[in-house]
Amino acid sequence: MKFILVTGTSLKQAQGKEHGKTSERYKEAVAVCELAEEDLAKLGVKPGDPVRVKSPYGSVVVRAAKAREPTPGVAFIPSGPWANAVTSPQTHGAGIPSYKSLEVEVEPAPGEEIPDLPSLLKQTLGGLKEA
Amino acid sequence: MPAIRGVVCSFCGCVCDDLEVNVEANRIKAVKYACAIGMEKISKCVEERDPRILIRTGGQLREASLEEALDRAAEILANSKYPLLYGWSNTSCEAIKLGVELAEELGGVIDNTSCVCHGPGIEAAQEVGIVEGTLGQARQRADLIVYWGCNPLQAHQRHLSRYTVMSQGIFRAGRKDRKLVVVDVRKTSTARMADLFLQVEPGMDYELIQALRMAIRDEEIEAEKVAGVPIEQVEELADLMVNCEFGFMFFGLGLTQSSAKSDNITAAINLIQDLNFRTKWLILPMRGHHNVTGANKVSLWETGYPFAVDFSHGYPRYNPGETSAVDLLNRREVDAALIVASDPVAHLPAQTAKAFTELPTIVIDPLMTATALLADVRIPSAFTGIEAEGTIYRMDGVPLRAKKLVDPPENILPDTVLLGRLLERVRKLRRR
Repeated sequence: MKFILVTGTSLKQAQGKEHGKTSERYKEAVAVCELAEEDLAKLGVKPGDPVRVKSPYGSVVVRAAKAREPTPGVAFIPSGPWANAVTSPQTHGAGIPSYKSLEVEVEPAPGEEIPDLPSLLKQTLGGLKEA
Repeated sequence: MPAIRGVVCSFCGCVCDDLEVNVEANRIKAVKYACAIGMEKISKCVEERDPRILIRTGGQLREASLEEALDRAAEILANSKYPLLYGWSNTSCEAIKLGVELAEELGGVIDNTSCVCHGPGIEAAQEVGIVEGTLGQARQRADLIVYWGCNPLQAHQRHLSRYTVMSQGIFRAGRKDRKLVVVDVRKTSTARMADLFLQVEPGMDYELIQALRMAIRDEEIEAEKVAGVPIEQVEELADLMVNCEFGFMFFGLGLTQSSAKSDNITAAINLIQDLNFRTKWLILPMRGHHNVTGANKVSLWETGYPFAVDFSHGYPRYNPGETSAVDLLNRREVDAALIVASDPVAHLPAQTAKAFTELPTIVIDPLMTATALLADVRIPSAFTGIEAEGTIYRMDGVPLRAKKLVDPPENILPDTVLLGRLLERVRKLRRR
């Protein structure tokens, strides 16, 4: 299903990053995709289920969550490396990439694991400089 | 021990300066008056630090001494032809000043995180000027507050209670004397508190701002909806804006990071300029990181430019889109990176961050970051505003002095000391 991706700050994301980016608390806070209840139903997923988010720039598995105030058609992922697996690097000459208003595809990913930070970086960056 | 009063918070651009912290035996025991995020940072971050100094050898990170790490870092920088010195939003102005000196010495680029947050707002202000004010003016005088594309209840938690709708000002007695308007693509927690909420379609803010400018000039809008917002709501907001005594608009990344980028802010500033022909209005960006405003100020007064400053010609040049970090990384133009007090691998698009897998990278940051996992040299530093003092700029450009509350562990030094030593070593190597 197609969605408009919005990334941004959330309270838990802000608190989580102060525990360090490799902490479980940070991952819990940001490896999440908030969707409207009706969109969760259309996708056939429950809050907590893994979903795959895909864009022309990459793909990532995160945990689905129910948005507190539903905005059908909008997928919200808190700022961080999971969201940035799919955001656009294009700056259009303004120096800033496009973190918001990007069209993405979200699909159920039953049985798939939500990667921890080192595994995520290996996937998205193609390696961690290991020899 | 008596509480340390007037502590300056080290989390966001609100830089709240009224905190109280109890310290016993060099440990933070209690924090008062901070928001949930500031509380979490000040009370927990020191305990959870990974204190290891690391150097990459044979593809693996291994522990090293500080001297070894600084030598390796200096070698990387001195051998580079076009290094990128990036970050700076969570450290003191004194440290940022040393970063500018280092960039000039190396003929590299110094850019700060505003290039991925409020840089477009700075570009807009350079084009059309800006009618800014201080948070004190919002607190004392504003009777209409507009938050556009930002959610302070989640990201700048005390903004409403210290400076805007909930604050007790000289001329406004709190919530009953003030109106709150929120414009956002989502009905956020701040939007739930608003007297009027306009839900704009993602990426359509520019259109909505221009419709508001028309409504303010009493021009007819021949459409039922603009950017997903019914015309009646556009007119209702225009009426509120024209009829208030003192309006204040705060904008967030919802405006700077969506598709029209700096044009969104140019339009928002134009709207505020139009409104000033009718009543009094001010506008300010909701700056996110602790001292990101300071990073712009120091860069501006040292080089003439607020971010994305290139010294490769021997003099400072500034051209966002060309000399900005994301573009340089996208084009794989830089050949080494020094990252201070930020985490680009976590916060830049992965396609951009991939560049760090090929770049010799040095990270100076108190916390273990995603960038540190890719670093060739990782030097943990003292937390500014907790273990090191320094000058910090609030989002409205008011400088405040952050205190040192506890001593950092042995071998963990403030950014100013680390950068001073690095600069000294780089100069020695380059003079050889």
